[in-house]
This record gives sequence, structure tokens and C-alpha cells, in this order.
Amino acid sequence: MRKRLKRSSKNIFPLKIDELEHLLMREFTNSPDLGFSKYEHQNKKIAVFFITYQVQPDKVENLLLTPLLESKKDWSNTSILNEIPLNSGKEYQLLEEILSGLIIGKVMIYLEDETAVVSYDFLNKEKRSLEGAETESVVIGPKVAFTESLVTNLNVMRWNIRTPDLAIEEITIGKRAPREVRLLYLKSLANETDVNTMRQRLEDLEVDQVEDINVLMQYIEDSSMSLFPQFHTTELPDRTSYAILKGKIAVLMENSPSALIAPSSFFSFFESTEDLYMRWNSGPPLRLIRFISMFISVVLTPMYVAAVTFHYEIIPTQLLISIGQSRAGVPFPPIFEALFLELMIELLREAGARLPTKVGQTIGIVGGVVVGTAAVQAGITSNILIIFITISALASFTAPSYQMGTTIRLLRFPMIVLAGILGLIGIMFGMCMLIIHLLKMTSLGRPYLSPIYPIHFEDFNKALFRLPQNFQHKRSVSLSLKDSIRFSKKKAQEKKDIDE
Amino acid sequence: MIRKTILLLIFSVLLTSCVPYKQLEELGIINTRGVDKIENNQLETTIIAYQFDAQSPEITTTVFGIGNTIKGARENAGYNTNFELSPGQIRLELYGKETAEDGILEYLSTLVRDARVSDTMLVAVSNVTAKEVLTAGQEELMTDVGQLIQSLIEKEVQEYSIPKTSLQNYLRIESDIGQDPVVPLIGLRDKKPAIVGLAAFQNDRLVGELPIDQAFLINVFLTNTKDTPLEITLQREPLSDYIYNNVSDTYQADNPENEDQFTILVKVLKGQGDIKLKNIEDLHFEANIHLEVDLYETSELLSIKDEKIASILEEEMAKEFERQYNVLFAQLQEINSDPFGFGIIYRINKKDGELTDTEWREKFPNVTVDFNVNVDLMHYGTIQ
Amino acid sequence: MEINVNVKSNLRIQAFYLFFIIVSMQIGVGILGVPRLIFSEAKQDSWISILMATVYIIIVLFVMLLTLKQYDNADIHGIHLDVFGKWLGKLFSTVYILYFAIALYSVLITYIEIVKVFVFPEVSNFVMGLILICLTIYGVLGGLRVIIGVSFVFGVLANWILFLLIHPALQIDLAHYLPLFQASFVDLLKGAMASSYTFMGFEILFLVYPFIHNKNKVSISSILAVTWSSLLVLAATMLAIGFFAAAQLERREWAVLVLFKTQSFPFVERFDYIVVAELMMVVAPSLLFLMWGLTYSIKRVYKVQQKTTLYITSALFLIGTFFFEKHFETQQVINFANQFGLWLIYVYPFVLLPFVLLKKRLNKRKGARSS
Repeated sequence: MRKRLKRSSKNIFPLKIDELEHLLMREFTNSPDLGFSKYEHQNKKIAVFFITYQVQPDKVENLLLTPLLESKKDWSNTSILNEIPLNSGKEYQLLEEILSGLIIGKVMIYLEDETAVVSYDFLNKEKRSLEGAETESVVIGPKVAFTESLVTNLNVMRWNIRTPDLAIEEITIGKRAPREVRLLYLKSLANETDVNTMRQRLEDLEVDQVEDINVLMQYIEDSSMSLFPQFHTTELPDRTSYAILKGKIAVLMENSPSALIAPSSFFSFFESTEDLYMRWNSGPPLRLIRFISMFISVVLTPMYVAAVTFHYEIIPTQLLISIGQSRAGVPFPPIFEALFLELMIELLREAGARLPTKVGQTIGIVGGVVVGTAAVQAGITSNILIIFITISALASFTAPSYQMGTTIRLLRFPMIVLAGILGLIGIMFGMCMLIIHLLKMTSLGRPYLSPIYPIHFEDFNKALFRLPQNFQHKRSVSLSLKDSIRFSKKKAQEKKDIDE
Repeated sequence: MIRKTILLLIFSVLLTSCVPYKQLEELGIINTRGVDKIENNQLETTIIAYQFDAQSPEITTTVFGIGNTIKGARENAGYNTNFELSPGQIRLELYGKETAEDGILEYLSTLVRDARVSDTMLVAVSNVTAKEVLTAGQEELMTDVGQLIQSLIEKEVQEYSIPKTSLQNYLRIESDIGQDPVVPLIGLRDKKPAIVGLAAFQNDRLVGELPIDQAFLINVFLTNTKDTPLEITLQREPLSDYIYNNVSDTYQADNPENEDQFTILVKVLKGQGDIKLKNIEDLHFEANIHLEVDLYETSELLSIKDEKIASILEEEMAKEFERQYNVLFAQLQEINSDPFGFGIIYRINKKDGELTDTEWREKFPNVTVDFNVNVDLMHYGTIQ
Repeated sequence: MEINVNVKSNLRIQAFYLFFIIVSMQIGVGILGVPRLIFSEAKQDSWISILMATVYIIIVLFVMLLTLKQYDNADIHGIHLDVFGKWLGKLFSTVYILYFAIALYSVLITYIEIVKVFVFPEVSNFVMGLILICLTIYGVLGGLRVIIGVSFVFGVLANWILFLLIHPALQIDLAHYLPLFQASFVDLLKGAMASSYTFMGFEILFLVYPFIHNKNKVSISSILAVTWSSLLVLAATMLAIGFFAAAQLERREWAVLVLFKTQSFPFVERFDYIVVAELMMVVAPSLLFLMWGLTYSIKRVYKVQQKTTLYITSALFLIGTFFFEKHFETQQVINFANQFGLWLIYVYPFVLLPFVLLKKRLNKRKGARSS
């Protein structure tokens, strides 16, 4: 941003209308789009120019041109700004500012021989309306999702968090095609070091352009080699505002329909806002199921491979007979069988994701049912493995975060290979490596496995399960917030005797 | 750099890994094994194994092998089958009578040495040869005889009718000085395998057979039994006044030889046995047995109207149990086998706590025991 | 080399984690075999031996803490430098470094042997060595914080296998513990000596002490750790004695592992396989700490980059796994580590303390004179 300012920091005004027109036409190679109209008013030449499809023409006509030209007044820059009843009036002197203003839909007025251009906003932005969330669908709670428009998103966020305490900082990213990025946090709550780190990372970013907030995430995350997502991206405004109110930092980006939440711990990827809306005793078991299903998803197929390839001793006799019978005709070693089926499931998922919903369902049925049955009957795979693979695939979809789900699904493949090489020892090796990796990771400089390590027993209440609201008098300790108390514990947990 | 090294290492694991595959469907998984001694000190094993062959619906197969060692015999049996016989899932180890009489420890220690073999497998002895039991049944029943015998034993163990008989249990009791193991004795009844008795050991050698209904008497001392059905025959005399005789005089004529006897079936809800050493010099012991029973069935109609009758019944049962214990104990002393573990009680009461096997073998025949049985009749169903 | 260690504030740890550090160092593969060793000396009175060993270890801990408290923030190498001077100090520090190397090597080959006996008789030492070394390098590269994290997370995660011991615990024969108090005092001492290899590991306190933030909690944390380890060893020993007949226990290697063989569930028949795999989680923290201790000590004493020594020693250990494949050779290595550790860990602190106190007094006198 600083560099661009430097390039054009010379004042070009005052100058003649024709010269201005010439100058602008030269800067804009797409000159047909630039509407440049000249008027004579009270012997003064006035130029009004804008990019035609970036503004709302009828509004320009009604609100700006009519009062401007029909008035008998002798206009000057100050009088325009004072008289025209629009609040977005501004003066610009630098050519660069004028150009970037035109691009985002400002209408410029220039009175000949004045030293500045007056501009008004008549932005005409194409956008879709607010819709329900697609990838993070929820059963209860607000269903609205972010859109591509930053203004709309900010609007939604402001309505969600109605306090002046909400800081919204503007940062522009990208040298060649800049994008606007907003940093959202609560001034009285968020940890200052975290905010500074985040701001620093965003400002120091030197790239041509950033396509989406998911790309931005990859630019600023702590360890780019890791399989695990280190920041949470969500398309739910209520989830974002919940995170902000907890003291985290959110980043919104122009043209991205999702928000980035930082810092995120491993366990926060298994949190859903629904856990909050459910009663305290029925929500957390669901979260427990998500943790268990993550474990199952990573370990179940490798366990099968290990047991069938190396450790038949650990299978109970009855199960051994049914596994043995189903394996009897299969020509491949278990590891190839498992990898083959896992690949098939991934294939189905990928095909389903790319195709329109209705066709996708058909593909799922055809692929899953028909091919699965045929494969078993042809003796290529054992039906018990199909059950295991399906369970672990289902389990991987329970993660509320799509990115975490993908990671978990990918983790299975090295695990299967390790199980095929060294059996249970291989699986254990994989698990140990995985845990060490998670221990090494950080998110915005904060440990990824928090609150497990470094341990904060107080935060277990939030990260792993949830107690009733009157026990939630503290905020997360691991975030080291400015204000760690939510409400007085004494009052919330006041005890009454019987019949009082 | 680090990741490259790790990748490199993982690839070298891939390349150097030389753990041979032992795929389930390529193995003959031994489920039951019988061991018999034949001429020239050679062993014959009878192996019932699972093998998963796509061509055949039959999953169990029986193979035989002869060799000088157990493993050798297994290798020999392996010539009969195209699957590699592997011992990791052996659930039942059956020894022929003659084999057991010469001692089975050497065969069991082979099993223990191999860490892959399960410790929970059952150990049993056949009253003929193991081969006979395992094959005769196989022809007759068309089912997996190994599994049949296993479930027979497991069922009885669950009812606490016979003592636990896993490899680990056998070895522990065998190794404990002052106690001898007992295992179920499998025989053929109507050409079908059945538990026909209890094999009493002296260390690892089979020395005698006990009737199966006395297994419970031993088991009371080994664990706390629960819910064991038991049939017991009492003297009719003390109860005759309360036997409700609706057929009056004609009834007695039906079974004249049993006329002074009266059989009842009870369920022993709780059984506890406790041995105390009364006098270390005289080797005099006291064994207290406490049984809580439910009355389930009587051979003749009996009405239990009041406490008095119940206490007579309790007393009669206790008397009968004491009689049985004395008979059993005399028999055990004769064969010098101590499944109750009197020797252990003797050892822990001895001053230095040391006892050698030979010492106890000399002492055990001179032991005297007072068996005191205390029976509590808890419920007798919905009729009095 | 500085006597006191300057630790950056972000590398400091809470004394709470010291519990897990010491427990994970003490409890390793040793606990699997120790019941036999203690039992063959002290018989059914083994529990007295273990209690004696625990009391002795707590005394050693106090001596170590007393030594460390004479300095602001020093570790063993700093103390050596201060007390014995540059050359002699370096010599003593080198002995420590050698101890770490031998202890690491003994843990490595013991685990490999267990895997070979219980799970994969066919696996080559090299492959097993490779994955363990891989794990060690990856963990140690994360630094002390990560290693402590590993000891904490693995230490908590591996505890579920204790529940598998409930079933064998119900089958124990109480008569095996009787009669009480039969072993002579010498036998009890021998039994306590036999447990020394298992209980090694608390010497890590000499190295991590400067990293601890709240030093006032160090003693309580380390004593609790030693107590917990002793309880585990005690429980394992008592279980093994109750479960096995005396003649059996005297012959069984890794008796504790055999205990797991009796437990089975409808979905898993044999738990000893899973336990052997799970043991990797028990062994890994010891490997990481020993490797860290080794490389960090070399850095302190000889100023060599930790990364360099990490890679070099790892390669050496990997080559080392080729040797000592036979059981009795492994036992010899363990015995050597045991003898080495016995003097260094259980006796040496008592020798060091008077020197440190003497040095301190001398310094004080010098200071008083010069002022």
C-alpha cells in the first residue's frame, strides 16, 4: 500500500477539463467504460466522470446531477460538499486516488481550475443475497452464511456484535491487485500480542494477489508443511461472532464467503455452535462422539489390515471364522485391498462433490451399492472390510470443520501403509508420530494441543465438554485474555435451602 | 531438511522391511490339538484346524502328525495340508490318558515358551486316547468336535461345576507346592464326546479319576462359587414324616431299592470353602464349607411348612456333603493328590514358610481333616 | 560455559510437569521384568524391598535438591565446572554423557527384544531401531517443550492399560504373599538393589532443574513422581507374585506382560499384542529425554550444536542395534547400564554434596575477605 502511494504522490491540479479527460483516457485503456461528461453551468465548466457499470445511474441522475445543474448557485468545491445532501462526499487530489476511486464505483466531479476533485459514492455492487450455509449446515441456531460481499458480511457481523468495543481494522493485501481485509476483535478482550501478531503477519505479506481467505490462511499460518489446518475458516457469522466474543480474532476478506478465526486449537475444530445451543448435557456427548469417530476413522481400517496380515491371534475365534471366510477368495494382500477400497470411497466422494446434487446422489448409490456388492460377489474384496471402510468414511464426515475432515481422511492412508508393513507396531509408530507432530504445532504462536498441553484444567470445560452455564464464569485461560471473568461465580452458584 | 530425512527413513523402512506376511487365509489355524504318546517314545498329534479355502465350504480340517517333539509332529502334520499350521489360536489341548500318566509338563512348557500361544486355552485329558475322542466324534457328529468340547467345558466352568482349567490355571496350581491340578476328563458317551469325570494329577502326572459330581466339592475351595445346580441324595428316614404321599402305599413299591433315599436338586447360590490348620504337629486340618442353596426339585413331594423341616433338610444336606467330602478325601489321599491345597495352608503356617514337593508327598497321606459343612436353605420357590 | 543456565522465559516450564518427566523416565520397559528380579531375592517380602528402595530414592532426591539449591539456576554440568574446575569437571560431565548414551541404548534394545519375542520374531533389529530412532529424532527436534509434552500426553494416554490388569488382579492367590517377613535384611537389600535399574531416571532432575519456573514446587512434584512410580512397580510386583506360583515367576521373563495375556474382550482376544505396541508410548518419552539429555549435555560441555550431535548419535545408535541380538547379550548391556547407573545415580550425589558445600563456604570466606 505504501508503495502505491509513493508512485503517484504528485498533485496534478489545477488543470483544464480537456487535459483531465485526456489524462484519464490515457490511464484507462478500457476507455469506453469511462463515462466523462462535460457541462457548462453559470459559465463554469463542470466535468462528471465515473465508470458506468460500477455506479447506479438513476441515483447519479436524481441525487447528484439534477441538484447540481438546476441550481442557480455559483459552485465551488466547498459549496458542493456543503449543499449536496449526500454524506459520502470527499475531496481527492492525487491521480492514483482518483483512479482507484473510480474502479470501486465513485462518481467524480471536477470544477475547472479547482485544486481537487469532489467524489461521491454510488457503488453498484453485484452480490448475491444472504443464504443458508451449505458446507457447515446446522440443525438448530442461525443458518445464515457469509456472502462474497465484505460490506454485507460486516453488516451481519455488526448486527451480531452490537458494541462499539468491536474493533474492525482495515488492511489492504496484494501488490498487483489489492484486496481489502478486515481484522475483527474485541478491544477490551482480545489478547494484544495475538492481535499484533495477526496484524503483523497480514501487513508483512508481500504477494501479488490473494485469491480467497483460504489462500490467505495458507500464507499466514504457522507451519505450512503440516497436514492440519491451523486456522479455522467458517462460513457461519454466528460462529465467527461467538469466537470473537470468546476473545479470538477474526479476519474477513473482500470477495470471500468465509471468515478466518485465530488462534484455533486442535479441539476447536471439533466444536460446533450447535453444542452451545443444545442443552449442556446433550451437546457434549455429541462432541465426544466426534472425537471417538475421529479416532475410529484413523485407526479402524489399519487395525483390520494389521490383524489380518500379521496378528491373527488377537481376533476372537468366532470373528476369525467370519473374517477368514470372507477373505478366502480375495486375491490381494489386505493392504492392497484396503487401499483399493479407500481409494474407491474417496473417488465417490470427489465425484459426488463435483457433480450437481441430484446426479451426485445417483453416483453415490451406483458407486456405493452396486459396485460394492459386485466387488464382494466377484471376490475382489471381503465384505467385512467394506463394513469397516464405510464406518471409517462415515466417521470422518462427523468433523464439523470440512478441512479437518479432509485431513483425517488423508491420515488414513499412511496409517494403512504402516499397518501393512509393521502391523500394530506400525500403527503405534504412526500414532506416536502424529501426537508428536500435534505437540510441535502452533496456531498464531499458541500451542495447538491446548488445553491438553500445556494443561489448563479450567479450559477442559470448554474444549472437551461443557458444563451448565452457571459454571461458565471464566473465559478460556489458554487464550490469556485481558478480562478472564465472564460473570461473578458467587451469584450464579448461589445455593438455596429447601423451601426458601 | 528434517522432512526429507524422515521421508528418506520411511522409504528405507519400506524397502528394508522384511516382516513376512502371515495372512489369515493362508494359515491353517489350529483350534484343538490332541497329543498321544505312541511306540518308540514318539508323539502323535491330532490337529483340528480352520482353513479358509475358497473352493470348499468346509472350514475345519483334521490332520495327524508323528514326531519326536510337539513342534516336530506339527511339522509332520503340515505335510497333509497346503496351509501353514499355526498355533496362535489353540483353544483346547487334549492329552491322551497314557500320555498324561507320564507327565504333560514338557508339552505345556513348549506352549508357554512361544509367546504367541494363548494362556487362556483349556487343558483336558481324555480317558482313552486324544485321537479317539477327536476323530470318533468328528465322524459321528459332523461338527467341529474341538469347539464342542470347549463349549462343554466352558459351560460347566461358568456354572462352577468344575474348576477352571485354563493353561495358566493349570500351570500355576502345578507349580504351587502343596496343591495339585485337576482337569476335566473327556470320554465318549454314545460315541459322542462328553465330560465323564475329573482327572486328578500329582504334579503333572495323571494319577486318578474322580467322579464328575465331586468336582464341585473341590471347586468350592478354589473359588467362590455362584449359582451351581447340584443333585444330592439324602436319607429318607429323617424326612419321611414330611413327605407328602398322595399315592399312599402304592408309591413305595415302585422303586424298592431307593426306598430309603430321597433325591433333591438344589442350586448352590454361594459356596465358600476355607481351610484352617488346627495342629501343625499332627497335620490336623479343619475345613469349613458354607453353602447357600435354593431348593429346586425333589424326587418326591415334600412340604416345608416350618423352620423345623427346613433345618432338618439343611442338616441332612450337610451330613451328606460331609460324607462325600470324607470319601473324596480318602480317595485323594490314596492317590496322593492334593487339589484342595492343604499343602499351601501347611506351608504358610510353617515357621520358615518353606516346603518341598517330596516333603509334602510324604506328609499328605497322614493328614487328617474335619470337614464341617454348613448349609443355609434360602428359598424353596413358590410352594412350601 | 556458564555455571548458571540462562533460560528464556518462553522455554520455562511449570514444576507440575516434573511429575510426568520423572515418572516417564522411571517407568519404562524395566517394570515388565522387575518382579522376577526382586522376587528372586526377597521372595514374598518383595514389597518391603520396594518400599526400602523408595525411601532411599527420596533421600537421594533431597540430596540432589540440596545440591542444586546452592546455586541460582545451575545444572549438573555447571556444578561440575564450579566444583572441579574446567578439566576435571569436563571429565565428570562426560561420565554423565556416557551414562545417557548407555541408558538410551539399553532401553532401545530391550524394547526391540520384547517386540521380537512377543510380536514379530522375524523383524530385523534395523527396522525396529529405525522407527524408534525416527521417533526420537522427530521429537527431540521439537526441543524440551515438545519432549515434556510427549512425556505428559503419552504418560496420560498409556495409563489405560492399567485397567487391563483388573482381570488378572482378581485371580491372584493371597496365599502367595504368606507367610510375611521371611526374608532376611540382606535379602531385602538385594531385592532393593534389583529394582535399581527400573527406578533410574530421576537423575534428569539434575538437567531440567534450570528450566523450571516455580522452583518452590520442585521437591513436592518430584517426590510425588517417585512415589507414583514406586506404587506402579509395587502393584506390578505384587500382582505378579500373587498371580504366578513362585516356581513360575522365577522362570518367567517379562512376567508383567504375561499378565495381560489372560484378559480378553469379545472384540479383542489377546491384549498382550496391543500392550506391546502401546509400550512404544511408554518407551518413547524415555528415549526422547535420554537423547535430549545426551545432546544437550554435549552442547553444554563441548559447545557442539545439538542438531549435529543428534544426527550423529542417532546414526551410531542405529548401527548399534545390529549388535547384541542375543538375549544374554542384551542382558549384559542392561547389567552394565545398571552397574553404571547404580554408582552414578544412587551414590554419586552423596559424594558431590560435600564438595559443593565446601566450595560454597570457601567462596563465602573469600568474599568476606575481599570486602
